[in-house]
Amino acid sequence: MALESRITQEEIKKEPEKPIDREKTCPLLLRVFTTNSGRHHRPDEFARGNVPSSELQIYTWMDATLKELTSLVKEVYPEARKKGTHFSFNIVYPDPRGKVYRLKDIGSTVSGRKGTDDSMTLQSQRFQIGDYLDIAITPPNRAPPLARMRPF
Amino acid sequence: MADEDITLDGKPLQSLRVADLKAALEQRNLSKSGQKNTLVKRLKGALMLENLQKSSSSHSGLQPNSQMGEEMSQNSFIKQYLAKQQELLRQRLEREAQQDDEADESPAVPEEDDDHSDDNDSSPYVHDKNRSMLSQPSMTRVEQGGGDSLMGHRMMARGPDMGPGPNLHPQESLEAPGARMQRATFHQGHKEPPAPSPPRAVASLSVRVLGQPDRQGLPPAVPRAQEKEGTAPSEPGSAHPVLHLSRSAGGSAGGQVHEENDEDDSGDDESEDDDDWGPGPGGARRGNRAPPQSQQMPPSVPSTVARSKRKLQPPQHIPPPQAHHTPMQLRHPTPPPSPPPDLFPLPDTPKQSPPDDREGEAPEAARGPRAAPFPAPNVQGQDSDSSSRSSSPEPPVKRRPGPLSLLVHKMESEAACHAVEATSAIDMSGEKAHSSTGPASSTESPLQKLEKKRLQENREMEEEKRLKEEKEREQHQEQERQRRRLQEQEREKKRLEEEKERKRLEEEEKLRQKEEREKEQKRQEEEREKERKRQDEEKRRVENLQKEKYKGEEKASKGRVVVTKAQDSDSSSDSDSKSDSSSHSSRSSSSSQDKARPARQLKKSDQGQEAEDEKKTNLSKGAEKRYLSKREVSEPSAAAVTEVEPESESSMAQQPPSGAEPENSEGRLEESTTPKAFAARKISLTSSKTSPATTDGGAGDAETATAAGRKRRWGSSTSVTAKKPSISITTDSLKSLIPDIKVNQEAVVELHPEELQLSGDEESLDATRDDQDKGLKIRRTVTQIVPGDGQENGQTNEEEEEVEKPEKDKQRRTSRDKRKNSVSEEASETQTSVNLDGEAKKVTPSDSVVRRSISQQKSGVSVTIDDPVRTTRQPSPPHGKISNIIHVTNLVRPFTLGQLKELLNRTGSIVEDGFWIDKIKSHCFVTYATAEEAVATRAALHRVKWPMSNPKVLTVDFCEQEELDFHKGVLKPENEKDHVAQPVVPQNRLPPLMPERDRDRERGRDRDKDRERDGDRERDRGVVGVRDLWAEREREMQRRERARGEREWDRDKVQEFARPGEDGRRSRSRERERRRRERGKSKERKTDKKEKGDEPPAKLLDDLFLKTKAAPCIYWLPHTEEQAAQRLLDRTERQKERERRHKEQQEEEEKKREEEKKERLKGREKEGGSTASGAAAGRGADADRERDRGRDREGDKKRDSGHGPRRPSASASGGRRSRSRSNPRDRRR
Repeated sequence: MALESRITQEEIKKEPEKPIDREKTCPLLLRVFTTNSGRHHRPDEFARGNVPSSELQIYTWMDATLKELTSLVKEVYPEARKKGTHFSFNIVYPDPRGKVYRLKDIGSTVSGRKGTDDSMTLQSQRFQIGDYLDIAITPPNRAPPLARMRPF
Repeated sequence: MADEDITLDGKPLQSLRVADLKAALEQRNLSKSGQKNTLVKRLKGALMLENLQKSSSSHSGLQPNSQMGEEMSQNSFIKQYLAKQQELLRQRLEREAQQDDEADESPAVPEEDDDHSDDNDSSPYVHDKNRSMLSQPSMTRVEQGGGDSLMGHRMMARGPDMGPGPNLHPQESLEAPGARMQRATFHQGHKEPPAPSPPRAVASLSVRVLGQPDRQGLPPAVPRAQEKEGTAPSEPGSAHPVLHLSRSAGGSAGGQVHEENDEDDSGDDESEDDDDWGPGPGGARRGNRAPPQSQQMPPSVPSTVARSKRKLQPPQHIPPPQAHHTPMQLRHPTPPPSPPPDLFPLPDTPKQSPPDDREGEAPEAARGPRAAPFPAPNVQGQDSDSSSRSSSPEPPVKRRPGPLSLLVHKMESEAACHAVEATSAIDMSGEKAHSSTGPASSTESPLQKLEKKRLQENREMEEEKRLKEEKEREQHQEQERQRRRLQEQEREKKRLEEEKERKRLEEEEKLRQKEEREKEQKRQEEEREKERKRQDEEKRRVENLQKEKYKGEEKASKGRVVVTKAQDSDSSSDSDSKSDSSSHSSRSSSSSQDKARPARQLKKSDQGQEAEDEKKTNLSKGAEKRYLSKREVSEPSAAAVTEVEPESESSMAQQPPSGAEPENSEGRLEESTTPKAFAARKISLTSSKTSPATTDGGAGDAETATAAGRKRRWGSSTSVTAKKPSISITTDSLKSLIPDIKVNQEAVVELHPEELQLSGDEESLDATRDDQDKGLKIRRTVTQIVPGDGQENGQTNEEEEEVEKPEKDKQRRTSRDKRKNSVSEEASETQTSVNLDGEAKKVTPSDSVVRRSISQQKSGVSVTIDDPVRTTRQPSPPHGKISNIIHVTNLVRPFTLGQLKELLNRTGSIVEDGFWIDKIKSHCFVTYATAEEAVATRAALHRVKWPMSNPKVLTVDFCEQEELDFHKGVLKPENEKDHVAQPVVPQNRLPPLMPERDRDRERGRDRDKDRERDGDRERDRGVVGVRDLWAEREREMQRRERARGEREWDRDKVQEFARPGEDGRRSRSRERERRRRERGKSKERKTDKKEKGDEPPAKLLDDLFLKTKAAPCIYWLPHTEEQAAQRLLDRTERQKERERRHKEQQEEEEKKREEEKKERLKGREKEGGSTASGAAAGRGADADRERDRGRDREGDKKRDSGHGPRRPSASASGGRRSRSRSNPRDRRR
């Protein structure tokens, strides 16, 4: 217990893989924006304090995995529960050099299937509290758009 | 029937070849596509139409229409229509065949049947009228643009007449813009026919509610109904379809005219019909929907089956009330079959137009021109019409149908026609449809009741099967019904009338009360309920279960008394109708038993009234509606001398209500105090609840009324039955303890009455409980606990109980006081005895325990427990070292924590903090204040069978604090450390002698866990990193498991134990409140879940963290002191660091500045030094200038420099400088 109490976000930052005691660590408010078109929001949709309308607010922790987030999204969007629905996760963060927001692909999950990114955590992707999460949801029948289009 | 008759060239259609069929069809311009069956059908329909035309041609000038129809027949619409018609015809024929058998009863019926059913036979009379009527309205309507809907209806209505129908329809359809809509209507119409024929009741209802327009609306159903019933004259039937069409179309003006015409034509018969068919308008309102109802109705129509009528009745009843309540219903509406919701033009109505209405209207609106007229006028008019009709029919029925009623009806119909346009009819149809489909019954308006009465009466009539009466009815439906009812009532029982009067009075009283103060009514009802409860108790005392009937009577009488006291006696038509209905319902319910027991009837009627009252209370809105209607009605009714007048009055009153409906709705809303929307919803709910009964049928209504009464009874009966189990328990205890038997009985008695009260309380949920609640709750638990072993004994005891009940109260009070004392005393005795001897006491403790239980019962202690049964006389010596903590294993459910605690408390006082039980209640740890108590407990409970159902015997042993702590999940880090030390500490608990497996297993498990944890700890301490993580995870999991281990529903109990004193005393209401709170919490939790994610259900973010009030909230936790201090330190350090850095920066900057200055100075010095040589200075200046120009020009400069001799050097130096600006300086520096 004593150890746990010591675990704070500071520690998390230092040791990204350190488990977080979710009963001791205050959850962070994760603002999630979803699209069901298969494409992510455009960065300029986040510009100047604007945000897309499809917002989910999730209280979670830095050790939240994409799978976990997926399950949360599925709770809200029944249509996303269909097997084969593709979730592509992007972190939306402000570009330090400008007023622009940038999207960074951090992985994708598919409901009903296991994937390599399932266990990926936010903190492993350098997520910083205050960043947004943009999730592009692709219905099962459509191929994940841009899934691996980018070579890097 | 007819199918067989139809032949082509003398051959039955079925025998024809496909080619022949096609040829025949082609001749008739019909499509040749489809299988043979379809072809045959098509051809059959065509032939039938031809036959009809032949027959009818002589009478009316339908031929032009028919020609038109033929021309149009090519149209796909027409084809579809024809096909549908054929289907309808078939269905009708079938029905008619059935009906004919039944219809023989009434003379009128056969004629109509013949006309409608046998097209070939084609009764000239009917056809003429129909055609004429149809043609006129159709033309007018077509012009108006509403013809489409009309057409559909016509088709429906004409189904049997086929001939003219199709022709007209095609034309109209073409003309009418809303062809699609028509189609839809047609489909519905077609559907109708397949369904059982529409019942008379429906038709009557519709007519009443809607008024004249209703007839039109009804048409589809009407003809059939007429046929079936035989009461309706053929003329009105024909008229109806036309009207119906017009109305459906949106209440074209033509419809009104037609109605009037019809009435005039029909004369007295029509007026009668109007009464019966009053619902017709309702049907019109329902529009498309109405037909299905009617369909259902028809099958039942045949006089033979009362049930069918009942079933049919509900719809009828429903519609009128709906019309009154329309606003409410509309909002709630059960989704009607009708299509898409269009704009509802009823802005005026307070009702928020429900989707249903919209839907109903939508089709009509879609048709086009008609839609416009609908809006405001329609609503009011419809309401008024519906209300008036609905109200009117009922009273007349019972009272006196005489000529006055006819006049009234005519007047109403005319007024309705003028006031209510087709549009209104449409609206109504929508509403009705809603009501019919939906729960309208909840707020059973007087109309419904009246209808019920009628239905009931009808049933009775059928039962009697008096042909004369039936004929009369059919001919003069409502009037005759009323007469008959009166006659029957008079003949059979004047009692009923008396009852009715009573009921009326009661109802009136109720109405007044409600009007005056709904609250007061509620109070009265509550009082009544209380009285009932009291009565029940008394009854129980005095009477046996067998005399339950008498109880019901008593209740009823009480209710009557209350009512009578309040009676102001404005004999409102509504009240009368209600009373009638109730009486009828009672009769119907006990139809066979009508004569058998007057008392029963009284009961039933009373019950029905009670039920109604309950409904009213429950559905304040419905009650209000009634009141409103009643008020309106009541005033006129009071003024009205004749019974017939009440109808008119009621109609009038209802009309005002339509205007007043908004007010009503508002009033309702106010009453509900919830926003309108909510109120509406509530209403709908209530209505839905009640509706099922009403929808079930007239019988259903009666049954519902009785059912309400039954509920009461059931409650009482259940309470009685409930007693038995408790008694049985007591009896068991008695058996075990012979000497104490008498005492036990008393105790039993006490328990029972309370239980009874409880049951009553549960049902009524009244404030009365509070008194009883304190003791009751506990008793309840007792009853649950006790297995119903000795029901027989319980029954025998009941009598005693009843006798003793009066004493109960006193005993209760005293018993409570005594209880504690007795328990404590006994406990002390047992303890002392235990102290004296270890094993010798073994026997005594059990006895003492038993005694205690008994004594507790006597005292009225809330918790009764199975007496532990000793299996072995000699408990084995304890395995563990004696301590004040005992470990009880082999517990087997069912038992409650309360019971267990009670058991454990017998031999000592439990330390609440020291009690722990696992989540499946298989073993528990108990801490007593002293070791002696623990010893006594072990002596009392070891090797004892408890509860009774436990197949195993309890094992009790001593254990140590650590074990308890461990199980309590308290394992805080410190505790864990202690656990680590445990192995070192001598374990008293280890069983040296006879190992008890269960316990060992338990301990082994625990130890394993401990070891794991210890291991985790060590790992945590020793290794940092991945292992650490894992350990953390594991610990986390364990913690969560522990959190889950406590089931939510047990948490409260555990907490209760924590405060021992409060358990028994807690009042039910408090508990309920808490439950409510928890429920609310759980909801919150659900919503929170999303946010929380995988958070274990037990703990919420809100439980764990503080959060900001701003939304979205942010969770936060205050730092601990250390953390805060640390933070402060860090911050200060950081600040220092920052300052330091700042200073450094500043210093650096200063240095830089200084250096720059120096450089400048140097530069100046150089310049100054070089001033002597002006050329040099000039060069330098040139160089600077060039530098400013940019590097791009360097090449140019070089070229330029090439021009002059001096320049090259200067330019070269300048270029060098420019290229490496900073570097040269740095070097310099």
